[in-house]
Amino acid sequence: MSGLRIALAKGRLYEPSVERFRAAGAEPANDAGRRLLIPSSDPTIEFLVVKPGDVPVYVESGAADLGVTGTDVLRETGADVLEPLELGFGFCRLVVASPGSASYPQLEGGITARVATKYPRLAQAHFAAAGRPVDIIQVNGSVEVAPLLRLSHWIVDLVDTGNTLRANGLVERETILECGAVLVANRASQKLKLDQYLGLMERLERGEKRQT
Amino acid sequence: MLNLPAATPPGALDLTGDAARRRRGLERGAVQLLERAGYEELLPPTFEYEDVFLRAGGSGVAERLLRFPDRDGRILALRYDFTSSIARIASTTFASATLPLRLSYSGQVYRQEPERGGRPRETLQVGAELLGDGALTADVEIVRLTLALIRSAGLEDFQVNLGHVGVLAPGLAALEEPLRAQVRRWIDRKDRAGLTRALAGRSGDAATLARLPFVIGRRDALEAALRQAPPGALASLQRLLALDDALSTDERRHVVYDLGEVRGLDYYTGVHFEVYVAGTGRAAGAGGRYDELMGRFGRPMPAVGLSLDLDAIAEVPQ
Repeated sequence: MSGLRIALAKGRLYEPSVERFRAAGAEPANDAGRRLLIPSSDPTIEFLVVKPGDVPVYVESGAADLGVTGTDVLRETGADVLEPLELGFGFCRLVVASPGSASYPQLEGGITARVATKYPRLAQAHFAAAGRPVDIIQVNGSVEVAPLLRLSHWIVDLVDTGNTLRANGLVERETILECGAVLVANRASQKLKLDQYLGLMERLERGEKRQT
Repeated sequence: MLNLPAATPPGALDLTGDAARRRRGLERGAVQLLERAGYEELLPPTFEYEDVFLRAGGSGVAERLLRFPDRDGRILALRYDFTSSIARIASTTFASATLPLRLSYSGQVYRQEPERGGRPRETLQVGAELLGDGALTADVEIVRLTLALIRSAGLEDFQVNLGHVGVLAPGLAALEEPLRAQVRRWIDRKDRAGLTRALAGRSGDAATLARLPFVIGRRDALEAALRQAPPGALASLQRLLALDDALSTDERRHVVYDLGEVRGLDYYTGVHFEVYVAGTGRAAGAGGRYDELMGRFGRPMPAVGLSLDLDAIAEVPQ
C-alpha cells in the first residue's frame, strides 16, 4: 500500500487521537461500524483500531506505518520504533502502590513482597535496579483489587487521578515512569515513505498550534 | 505438544518448496555476481570461540550470541556474523597475502531474539569484504556492489540510506556523559522535541545536533548540510558528496543520504548504510567502513563491507 496506515489504540487514548488527526486534516470516518480498516478524510491515510497493548507490535512489524500509543505500553513491550512526536495528552504515572495500613517498603516478618501488575517487565526492571527482591505476578485486569484478594502485597499500575487507588485503600508509594501519548513510526517505513511521513508530521505539528 | 520429538525450538524454521527454492535462487545469483566482481568466496566455520565475535562486535553482541560449552569448558558461539571470522582469517591465513583482499561469503548467521514473538534466530546472509583499501574508490565499489546485488535479486522498489559517522561525531564529542547517551537515544528515535530541549542553551558543535540528524534526501540535502555542519564534519560530508559524484544516474535513484543514523556509531568509522526494501518492516541489509576492526585481530588495515539479509528479501511479496 502506498499511503500511510496508522494504528490507533482503543480506550482512553482514542478520542484525543482522533481529535489530533482531525486537526491535521485526516479524520477517521465515523460510520466505520465494525470494520478493521477505517478510511479517513485524506485518501492517502487509513486507520486501524487495535487494543492499546498491540499498537507497538503493529508498528514495529510494519503492518502499520505509524501509531499512537502510551509510553507505558511502549516501554513495557520494548518495541524498536521511532518516537518522533510527543502528543501532549494521555498523561499518567506508573506507580507502586500498597495498602495504607501496611508498612512499606519492608513487609513485617521478612516476607518477600508479591507484586501484581500488567507491566511485568517495567516492574521487574524497577525493583531489580533498586536491588529489592520481589515476586512479580502478571495479571491482565483489576490490578487494584489484587491486595484485597491477597493475590499480592503491592501493585504496579497506571494512575491518573488516583481515585481508583484510594477507593481500594491503596497508597501511592513511588513513581516508576511518567507516561504520555506518543506518535510512533516504523523504522523502514519512515525511510521508504519519507515525503508522506514528513508531510503528516508537519500537519500534526501545525494542527496542534492552531488548537492551542 | 512440546514433548513430541518432532517439535522445533522457538525461532527455528523448516523451509521447504518455494521458500527453499527462492532462497537458494537468490543465494546462487548473489554468489555468482560476487565471484564475477572478483570477490573470492570463503567458508568459515559455523562456530567459533565466543571471543571472536565479542572482539569484533559492536554494542549488544554479547546478549545476542547463541552459546554452548566446548568439552574443555571454553565457550563456543554459533556464527553471529561472517565479518568477525573473516577478520580473524585475514590476520592469520592471509597474513602475507597481497592487499587489497576481496572476500565474499554466504550462509546462516545465528542471533538471539527477544523471547516475545518467536522470531527466527537464524538468518541467511550473503556479503562481501574489501580489506586493505581505505580510498573513496573502495567505498564506491562496495555501494555499487550492494545496489547490483539487490537489483540482481529482481527488486526495483528499494533504497540505500547512506550516512557517515563523522557528521555527528563533533557534536557528540562536545557533550558530556550521561547527556551524550541520552542525546544519541533521542536522535535514534527521531524525537526532535526531546533533542531540542536537551540542547537548549548549547552553542558550537553540540548545537548542530538539533538539526543535522534530521538531514535526509538527495545530493542537495548534503549540500545544505555543508552550510550548517561544524568544521570537524566537513570532510565526512565531502566524502559523501564525492561518493555521489561517482555513482551513475540510475544508481543515484536508489540512494538517499541520511545523517540521522546513530546505531552503527561504535562499529563503523566512515561511510555506512542500510538497505530498505518496500514490503519489509526492517532493514534488509547493511554495510560500511570499519577501519578499526582488523586492528583488534592484530593486523590493522582499512576495511569496508556489505551484507544482505536474503530471508528478508525472499519474503518480499513478488
